[in-house]
Amino acid sequence: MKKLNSLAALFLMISIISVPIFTTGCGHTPVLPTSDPNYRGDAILYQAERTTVNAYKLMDAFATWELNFRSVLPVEVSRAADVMRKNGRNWINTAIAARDAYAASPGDPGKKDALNTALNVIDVALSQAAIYMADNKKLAPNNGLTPQ
Amino acid sequence: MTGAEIAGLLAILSASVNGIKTLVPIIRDALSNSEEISQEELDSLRKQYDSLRTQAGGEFTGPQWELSGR
Repeated sequence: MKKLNSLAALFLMISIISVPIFTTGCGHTPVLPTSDPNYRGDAILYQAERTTVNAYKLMDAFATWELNFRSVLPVEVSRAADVMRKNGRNWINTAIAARDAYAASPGDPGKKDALNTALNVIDVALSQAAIYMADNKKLAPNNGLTPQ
Repeated sequence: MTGAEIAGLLAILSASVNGIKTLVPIIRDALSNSEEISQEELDSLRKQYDSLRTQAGGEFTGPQWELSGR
């Protein structure tokens, strides 16, 4: 059951974070108004921004959850939260910079790869956070999993 | 075949055609590979993204962002 909870949480987190950026080929591809000056009809820009915004919300939710239940959580959870606290801003800034670099040269495959890599780093960290939240659900109800 | 039976068959046929007419757009939407994003959604995302960009330029604030020290 514990494993099932972990998988469910992992699936939820990955759905929230990864699906927007990785569905261009097989799922719902966003169709943007071409008149918008910021996105210029480019779904990758839209997805990158949406993923980054959601990532921040989830990091914040994880950090808040760990703070609220610190007294009952294992030390390793607090340590994982601290890794996110130390690096979260850098991860977000890296994703923003990669998004800007891609926006400046959308035809450059290297820029697109760099953007995906930056978002993957966040994805891995958040997936781990989801597992901690699921594994400790009984000690600390993970209402914070879904950002407000 | 009696008149009543023919009327019954016609009713079934008509219901089937109407059912197909109802289902086709639903199936088409389900199979569609695109999701239209409205200008309002774009504006909302852009606002959140700009706010995050500003925030990430400084520090993430709030007690939840302070190290646990454990």
